[in-house]
Formats: sequence, structure tokens, C-alpha cells
Amino acid sequence: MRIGSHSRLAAAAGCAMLATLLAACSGGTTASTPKALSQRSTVTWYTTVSASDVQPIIQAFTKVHPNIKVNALRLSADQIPARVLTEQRAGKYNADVISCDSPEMAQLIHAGGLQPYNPPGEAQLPSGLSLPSGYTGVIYVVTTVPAWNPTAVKKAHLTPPTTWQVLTKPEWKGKFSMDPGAVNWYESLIVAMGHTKALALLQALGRNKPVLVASHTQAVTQVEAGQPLATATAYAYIAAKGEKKDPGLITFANPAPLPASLNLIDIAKNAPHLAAAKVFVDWLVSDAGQMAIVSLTKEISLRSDAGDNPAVWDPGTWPPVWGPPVVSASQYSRDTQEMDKALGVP
Amino acid sequence: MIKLTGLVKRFPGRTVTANAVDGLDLEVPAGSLAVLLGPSGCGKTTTLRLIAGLDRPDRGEIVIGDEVVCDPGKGIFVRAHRRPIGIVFQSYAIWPHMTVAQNVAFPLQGGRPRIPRRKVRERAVAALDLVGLADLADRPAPALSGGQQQRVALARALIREPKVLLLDEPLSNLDAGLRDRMRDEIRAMQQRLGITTVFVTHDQDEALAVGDEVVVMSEGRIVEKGLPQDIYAWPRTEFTARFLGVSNIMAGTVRSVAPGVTEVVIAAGVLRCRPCPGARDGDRVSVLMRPESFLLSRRRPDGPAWRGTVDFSIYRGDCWDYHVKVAGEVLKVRVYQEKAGLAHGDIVFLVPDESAAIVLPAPGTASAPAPGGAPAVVR
Amino acid sequence: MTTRAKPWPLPTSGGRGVGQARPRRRIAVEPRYLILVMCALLVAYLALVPVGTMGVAAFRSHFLIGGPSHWTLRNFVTIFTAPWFGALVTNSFLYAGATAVVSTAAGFGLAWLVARTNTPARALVSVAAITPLIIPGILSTVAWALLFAPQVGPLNDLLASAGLPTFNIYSLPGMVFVQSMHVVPIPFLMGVAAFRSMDGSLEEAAAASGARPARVLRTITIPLARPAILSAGLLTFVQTISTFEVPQLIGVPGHRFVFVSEIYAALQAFPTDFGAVGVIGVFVLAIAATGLVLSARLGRSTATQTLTGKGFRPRVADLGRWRWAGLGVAAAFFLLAVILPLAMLVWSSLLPGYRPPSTEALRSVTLSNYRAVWTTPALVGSVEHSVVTAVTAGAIVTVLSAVVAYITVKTRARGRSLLDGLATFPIAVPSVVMGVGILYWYLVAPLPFHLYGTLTILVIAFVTIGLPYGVRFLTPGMARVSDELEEAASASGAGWLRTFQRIYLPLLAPSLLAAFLYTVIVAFREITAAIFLYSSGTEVMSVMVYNLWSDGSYPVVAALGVIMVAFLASAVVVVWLLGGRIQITRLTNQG
Repeated sequence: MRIGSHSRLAAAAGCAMLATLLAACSGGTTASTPKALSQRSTVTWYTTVSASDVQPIIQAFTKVHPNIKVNALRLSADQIPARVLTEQRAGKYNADVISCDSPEMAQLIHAGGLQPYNPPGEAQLPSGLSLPSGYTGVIYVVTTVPAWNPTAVKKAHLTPPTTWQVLTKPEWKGKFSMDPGAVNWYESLIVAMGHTKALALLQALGRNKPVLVASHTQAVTQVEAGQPLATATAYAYIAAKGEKKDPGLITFANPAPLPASLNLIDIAKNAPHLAAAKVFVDWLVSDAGQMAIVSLTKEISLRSDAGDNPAVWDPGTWPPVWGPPVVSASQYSRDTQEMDKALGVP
Repeated sequence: MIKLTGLVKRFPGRTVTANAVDGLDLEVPAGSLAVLLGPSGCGKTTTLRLIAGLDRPDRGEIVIGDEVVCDPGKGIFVRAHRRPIGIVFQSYAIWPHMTVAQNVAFPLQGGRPRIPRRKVRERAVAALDLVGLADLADRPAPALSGGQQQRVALARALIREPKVLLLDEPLSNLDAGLRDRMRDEIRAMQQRLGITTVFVTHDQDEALAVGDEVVVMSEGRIVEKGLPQDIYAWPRTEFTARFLGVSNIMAGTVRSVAPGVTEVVIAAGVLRCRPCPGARDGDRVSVLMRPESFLLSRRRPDGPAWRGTVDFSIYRGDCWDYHVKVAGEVLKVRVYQEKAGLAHGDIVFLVPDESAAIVLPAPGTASAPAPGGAPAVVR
Repeated sequence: MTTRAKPWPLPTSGGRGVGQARPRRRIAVEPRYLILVMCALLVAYLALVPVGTMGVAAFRSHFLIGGPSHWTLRNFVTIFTAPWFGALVTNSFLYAGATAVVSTAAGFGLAWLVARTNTPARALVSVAAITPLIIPGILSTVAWALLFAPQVGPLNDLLASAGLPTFNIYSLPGMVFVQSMHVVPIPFLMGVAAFRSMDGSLEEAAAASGARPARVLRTITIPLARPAILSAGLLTFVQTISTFEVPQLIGVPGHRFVFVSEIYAALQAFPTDFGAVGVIGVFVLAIAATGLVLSARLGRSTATQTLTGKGFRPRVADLGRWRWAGLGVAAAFFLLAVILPLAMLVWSSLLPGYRPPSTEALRSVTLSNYRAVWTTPALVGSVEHSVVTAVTAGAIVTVLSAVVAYITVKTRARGRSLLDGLATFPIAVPSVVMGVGILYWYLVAPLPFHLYGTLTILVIAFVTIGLPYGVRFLTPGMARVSDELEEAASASGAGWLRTFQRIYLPLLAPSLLAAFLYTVIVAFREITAAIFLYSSGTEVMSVMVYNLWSDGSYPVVAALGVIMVAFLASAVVVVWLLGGRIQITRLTNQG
């Protein structure tokens, strides 16, 4: 039973199709030499910016630089170092630009997963904070506050949690959520009240069995829906956006001192599209970019002229307390383990 | 002991429009064994299941003993587990997850009053003893051979000493030698215990050998019923004749009707058949002759005989079957105690035994004759 | 004589049991032989890669971390002696065990109603019991989390207004509840197959021996079905212990951590403990493999025990008035397992921001979420990616499993039962191990092409996951094409290819269709493996759903989910209409 010439041809065609399919599927992420900007290019952006905010930012950028396409991969802060380093160790360099919270970014810096770059128009860091040269790009600032659903809280006759101490009371047991990966907030607390007290607060909160919700946007959405009634680790700007839409569903309070942390942006090592990456980073930290970000997403910029929402960011009224932007690997490890243990996460 | 009146059962959704059981009347006297015989689809198994209570009839009455167990008109229906029956299925239905003794003991358990476990075991072993399997009591059921499973099924059916024993083709799955042995054993046991039994089969040899009364069924109705010898020798319809044993059916016309003999003209000649009251001159009829009712010789005998040519012959060990062409028809002739055998083309002479010639209504005409019985002497 | 129907051939694994005394065809060295060998190698590669890399990660120190690494047992020691490991094992086993019990009881109960009683509208009951298969686990989990949200869930409101205690879904009972309903179709299908193959006269004999219907059920039906029940229970146990959605969406918020959620967390943590991932993965794999072997063995023993093959007829128990109760039970199940979650999804998809159902919220009903799905490039892209990967995987699985089935059933090649085992092996591999194993392999393997972060790697995962099911459909189908048909074709002058085209293909069409459809469904629903393998630009719908959920965009999640379910349902309906006489449910019964 010989296979006829017809079927040989069919087999060859099949192989060709398979090869084309494979090639097509892998398109877009092969390493390529950086091209000149006049040609079309792509930037792969690993970011913790929320999904609803990422698109407007990219659209605003594309208006200014139409021949650069930005592909965003949204991950949570604690996922980013692992993902980037795993890829790099395996010799695959996918990411061009990385933006995430400073404690996690610091780990990438330590592990050598980034390359230094000083964007020309970047803002000054707040006094007392320092970052290694080449890694000083700040895309925005986040403040972590308690937020709650005033209508539901009133109906349940609970004390509105204007400070975290309120959430450690027995009446709040199991009725609020918390992000088990909010290392940036924890480190601010350590700076604000010292390690012992910060750990004690964390453990008290843990004993009250919070619902574990990793995503800050999800936490706020849940509070708006009344399930649970409050969250300990909301980003103020998200809560503010919700409050503007419907103040009955969510509100927040800025405790004193106000935990704040930088959200940094850097270029990955061996970025496949270096030139385009630089253009992207430049724009993001520039005046124009920051104003665009603030107006589109209501996040907080370090630039005082960017139009930050004063209810969320007013260093005069609510002095921010910054966790150290560059945290050593051992301290990061200790902090994450303490959080895990306090919250009952294996 | 069992009385069925006007039983009708129709299966919903069947494309066949006929009823599975179509107006059945039957009485089975106490202590006798009635055989329901017929081709597949004739309704015999359905009738059995109706008696057992495994199916509900659409119409009709069923009485077992002196209890009306089923009467849809009056809304009476006693479910199977409350009827005083024992049943042996075609597949034996031995439960594979129990031992032999557990299978047999099952009917004694779960009822009221409770029988103590030791007594149950005693009776189970006794029942197994009855069928000769007492030493296999604790063997797991699937380890038994087909014949052994059948006997276990029988023991299980009888252990409660039911009023009625129902057997659904119990011998069809056994091989030939075992079949005969089991058939005889069942018959012996039934007679010994004197238990009213209904036995379903499609095998006419079995039916004749086993039954006190044979009920021939077709298409949901009873065609004929009677003693085995009557049914075989003097069937009243062509269907029965064809179903029971080999037959020669010859078409003919009635020439004259007399008290002791009915003369019929057939292709081979004139036959003086057994009397058939109800036949009239000129009626189109069929004449049945069994193959063994011919005398076959190679030389022309004295007296009237039919001349024929052998078409082909089949040797059967105890007899030869010949297909003989006579006057354009092929007659099957069986000759016992013949060694040599005939070949295609040989000339033979047949003398029919007229006392065994039965007149049957032609197919399509209503069946006429009176119920069979001992025949009047024919001369 | 009653006509005895020939019983359907049981799913054969390997060439045994086909029962033909014909000499098999010998493989000579021909181009056809080469194709067969290549396919065999491909199957072996697909089956062994995920497990291999997981094993390597478990047994090597410094996996994927710079520096020298060596073989070690230290990872095992560290994990097994970690303080939280005991709780992890307890939670996982409790969760999977309770789910197995609940879903098997429900599934077999429904199967008994369908296969053994005169419950009205049994066909509808069958459909009701199988429908949860088309709703991806992540969607039903999301829906249930919303329905039973401790404070505002509408069902909890109902319970509260009836004076009953509310149900906190973020708990172990909550996990068991959601997962059970999702998994019921599996024991249902197995139960129907078991009950249909039981000789009805076994129960009739019990009734005729004086046993009341309850006693018949207790002493005959259930003991005979016991191997099938255990087999189904083990299968659901294995399924449950290896899926991701429920533990991640319901378990984690409620502080209930199981193996899969721990693997996921360990992978995201920094620094990543690849050893831990490997160890737990291997552990889950061992549990799953043991469970599956036991399950298969039990399944086989059922078949040999109850199929007497002597003219049995399936017996239908007459429930009398209670048969309407049977229909009611099935309807209640359908309501619970399908209608409620779907209704929740539809409701959420019609609101701009999630609100629990209420009459005032009705005023803000809008289609903006669906418009968002239409217009957001990432979402549209995810739909495209899902369709492309699912259809490609379906095609590849269909072809591969046809070849594997051909080798195991129709040839005498040595090692064909090994091939069959390899093709079926991925069933034992939990999806999480599949995803991580494939990820690691393509990260470290020195292959000439670049697969990480592409759709191809997703296709590879889906093919590996779908292949065992394809083989299970194709093997009995292939067995039904008797040798004589093929021989008659060659005696009539047809070469192998023409025989394949004109004889095999048409006769195999129902099995091919079933394999294709099942793989497409599996690929669409698969999130556990996909979540480790996706990258920017290659998100599929299930991953998108998870990401959107994590982001709190419930309305868009719901809209995307409704589209997904609608697509899957219509795919099933189309195929069912096309292959109308083919009775895919009967085919899935064999699986």
C-alpha cells in the first residue's frame, strides 16, 4: 500500500501550513534589533496599572507617537518580579518597560533585571528618598487608606473605619478585606510607627480574619457593592473616583500619617525594542504625560502642577510617610513573610 | 389455579399496531404445567410477565389461587413482590455480588415475620440440596457454570414455596445435552412438588416433552391449546401444524363428507382423511400429513400408492429424511431404521397412512373444527 | 425467541478486549509507517514534557536560578516539614473528598432517574444534567460568589428573610458546593452508562422474590453499581484536586488554601521557589495518578460483572406518583446548577456597575458592557485567540487521536498499549502541573523556535489536555469499523488512503466530531493551564475573565462570560443537529 503522490503533496502542504502557523503565532515577540523611530515599533509594558486605566494611557501616548504600539501585560505587583526574572533566566527577553510598586521594583533592581535609564524630563524625588541612578523614573504615587461603604456601614451600625485601629475591633471581624501583598503599605507603617508597633497592628488586623483580596480595584468594587463593607488597603485615588460617582457607596479617610509609595518605571534588561521603550518612558514621566495620566486616571503625580486631586493628595494637610523605595532583598523577604504569617497565608 | 381473562397489553410507542397480548383467556389448573409456545414476538413472554406482575396489562383480569391480583377495570394491581410466585429468567438473573446461598436465601429475608438467620440458612441449604448443589452453597455466584446457575435460579424460585412457578425460556441458553437433562429434572421436580407452572418456550420439542397442556400463541392470541399429543397429531390450524414439527401441507378440495371419513382431492390423488365435522363439499382445505406417516418402498406395493422421485436425502442418524417429488409437489418423508438411503432421481412409492391425514381449514378461512380429543376410529 | 441486542463495546484501552481472532496487519516499512511513528513520538513528547519538567524542578536545587544546581531531596524535605503543609493537605483532601461524595451522589441519583425509572421527560433531564459542562468553571464560580456573597448576595437575602442562617460562600462548604455542581455531569454520564449496562432481570428477580422496591434498590441496584460509583467518585476527586478556579476565587479569600492555590502563589512570590512548585506539583500528580488507576480498574470490573449479555432488557422502575417528584428533583438541579448562575451573569452584564439584584437597579440596565467587549481591542483579541486556539487544538487532537486509535486497534505494532497509555496519561496530570510544566519546559528547552509567549504554546497545552478524551472517543469508534470492511475495500482494489477516505472517515465521523467538539469545549474552558502560559497579546477568554474579575470589573466579566456560554452552547447545538443520528451522549457515555 503505497501512498500516492497526491497524499505526499498533501502531507507537504500540511507541514508548510503548520510551519506558517507556528511562525505566525510567535510573531511579535521575537527579539529584534531596535529600529529607528520613524519605523513602526512595539513596546511590551509589564505594569500594575489597572486594566481600566491602562487603555486610556496607551491611547493618549499613541496620539502623540502613532507609530509605536504598546502591548500591556497587567499583573499584580508581587507577580512582576517573578515573571520577569523567570523569563530572563530562561533567556527570553519579552518585556521592554516595567512599572510597578517600589518594593517589588527594588527586587528587580537588585537582581539585575533592569537597565538604567534617565528620562530627561523626570520629576524630583521627595526629600529624603533616594533611588539608584538610572532607576529614578516615577510614574505615579499611591496612597493606601481605609475605605468603606457608608450606607451599608450605617445600616449595620458599625463604626466607620477612619483609621486601621477601628478595623481591629471585634465588631469588624470578617467584614473587611485586605490585600495580603500590600508590602508598600506595610513598609510605610514601619517607618511611621516602628517595626514592633506596625507588626502588632498587622497581627491584630490578621486576627480579625479579613477577606483576602489581592486586587485594589476589585477591593473597591466589592466595597461599592457592599460585600464586604470596608477594605483596609484601598488606593485612595480609586476610592475617590468611586466616591465621585456615588458618595453613598464608597468613601475613604486619609489617616495621619498617610502611607504613600512610589510607583516606579524602568526599562528591562535586554529590552527587545530599546529605542521605542525609551520614547515611551520619556513621555510617561514628562509634564505632558503626567498631566495626561492624572486627568485620565486620577492617579497622583509627583509633579505639583499636574492637577492632583486635593482630597487624595495634599502633603500639607496629610503628610505622607514613605516606605524606603529601595528595600533590600532580605528585608523584603522578611516583610512579606510577616504579612503572610499575620494574615494566615501559607 | 391461574385464570387469565381478556388480557390485553399494548406497549406504547411501538410502531407495530397490533397488541402484544390481544385478548387472552387461559386457565391453568392447580398442579399442572402449561407451556406457552410460539415464535418470537407472539406475546408468550409478555403474558408470563403479566402473570408475574412485572408489567401491567391494559385490560383483563388475572387471578392466582383465589386472589384477584390484577384488574385494571377495578383498579386492582398487586405488585410483583407481593404475588405468590417464583420466577426463573432466561438469563437466570443470579446476583453476581452474592454467594450461591445468599442468592437462594434472598426471598426469605426482609419479610414479616422475620425468620431467624439460622433457619434461613437451613432452608437455603435444603433448597440447594433439592437441586443437587448443596456443596456449592458458599461459592461466589459468578463462579458457576450455566447449568449450575440455572439450578440456583430454580432453587431460589422455589424456596418460598410459591403457588405458581414461572419459567421464561429457562433452557435456551444451555447446550443440547444439558438441556435435555435439565428439562427432565424440571419436569420431575414440578410433578413431585405438584406446583402450578407456566413454562415459556419457542422450542416445540421442549413444549411437547414437558407440558401437561400446550398453548400455542401467535401475535398475542392463543391459536390452539390442548394436550401435547392432540396438538401434535391433530392440530386444528395450519399455523400450529407448521410450528409443531415438520409437516406436509397439501392443498385440496373436499369431495365428500361422511361420518367416519372426509374425502379430499389433492394433486397426488384422493385421500380419505380423518373426519372433519364442519367441512362441506367443495370446501378448499389443506391436508396435513406428518413425514413419518408415509410408508416408503422402492417397489410398487399392492394397493394404491403414489409414485414419486427422490429430490434429495438427509441422513439424521436415527432416520433418513427424503424430499420426494410427487405430482409436482415435494413431500417430506421420514423413514426410520433405514440404512442404505436413496439418491437423487430414485423412484419410490409412498403409501399414506390415512389415519394420520388431518384436514385443516385453508389459510385465511376461519378455523372450524371442534376441540380435539381422542379420534373416532377410522375405517 | 427474543432478539438479543449486541451490547455496545466498552471503551477499550489498548488492543485487548476487541475480541477478534483475526490476524492483525503487520507494519512494513512504508511511508504510512513513518507517519504513524511520528505521531507516536509526538504523543509521547506531549505527554511526558510537563511531568518531566515538574519532576526536574522538584528534584533539583536552584532550578532556573542562577548558579550551579544539583539533584537533591531537600525541596521535598522543606515542603513536607513546613508548618502549613499539613493544613494544605487536610484542606485539599477535605475539599476534593467532600466534592466527590456530593457530586457522585447527585450524579448517580440523576442517572438512576434517567436510566432506571419512568420519570417523565427523561431526555430533558439528561440535557439538564450535562449542561453544566458548557459553563466554564470560572464563570459559574464568579456567579456563585456573587449569588451567595455573605452580606449582599441575593440568595443570602432570601435565606435571611426566611429566617434561615445565611451561607458564607467563602468557606470550605462553599467551595464544595460550587465545585460539586460544576462536576456533576461526570458521575452522571458514568452512572447512566453503568445503569444501562445492568441486566434488568437482576432487579426483577429480586422483586419476584418478594423484595419491596426500596429493598431492591438497597440490596441489588446499589451494590451492583458500587464499582461504578467508586470509580466516578475517584474521578471527580482527581478532577477537583487539580483545578484552579474554585480554590482561587473562593478558597483564597476565605483563607482556605489547597495545593493548586499554593502552587499559584508560590509561582508569583518573589523570590520564586521553583522547588516548592515542583514538589507540590509532583505530589498532586502522584495523588491524581493513583486515583485514576484505581478508578479505571474499578470501572472495568463493573463492566465484566453486570454485562451478562444474555438477552437482557433494561428495566424501568415504575415510580407511580413519585415520578413527578423525580422530574422536580431534576428541575431543581437544573435551576441550581445552570439557571441561577447564568441568570446572575446576565444580570451583572446588564448593569454599568455591579449591584445586587433589586428593582431600583433595574433602571440602570444597559448594553454598554457588551459594547465594551465589542470595542475593547484586548477583549476582542481574547475572543479571537480563544477561537483560534480551540479550533486548532481540536483539529490536531482529532487527527492525532485518530492515528493513535488506529495504531492501538488496527495494528500489531509493538508497544501500542504503551502508546495508548501515553495518550491517556495527561488525564492524570492536573491542569496546574500541565501549565507550569509546559511553561518551564519552553523556558529552558534549547529549541530553535521561540514558543514562549505565543499562541502556539497555548495550543500545545490544549492539545495535551484534550488528547486523552479524543482517544477515548476514537478508540471505540475505530473498533467498530470491523477489519472485514477494510479488507473488503482492499479486495476491491482500494489503496490505504482511499480506504481511509471512503470507508474509515465516514464511519468514524461521529467519533471524530465528538473528539473535535469536546476538545473545543475543553480549550475554551481551560484556565488553570492557560493562566501560566499567557503573555501580553495572547490572552484567551478564560484568562481575560480571570483578569477582569481580579480587577473588579464584574460587569464586563459577566458580559464576556455570557458571550462565551452562548458560543459554546450554540457550538454544541450545531454539532448535535449536524450529527443528529449520531447521539453524542451515547458516545460520551462510553468515555
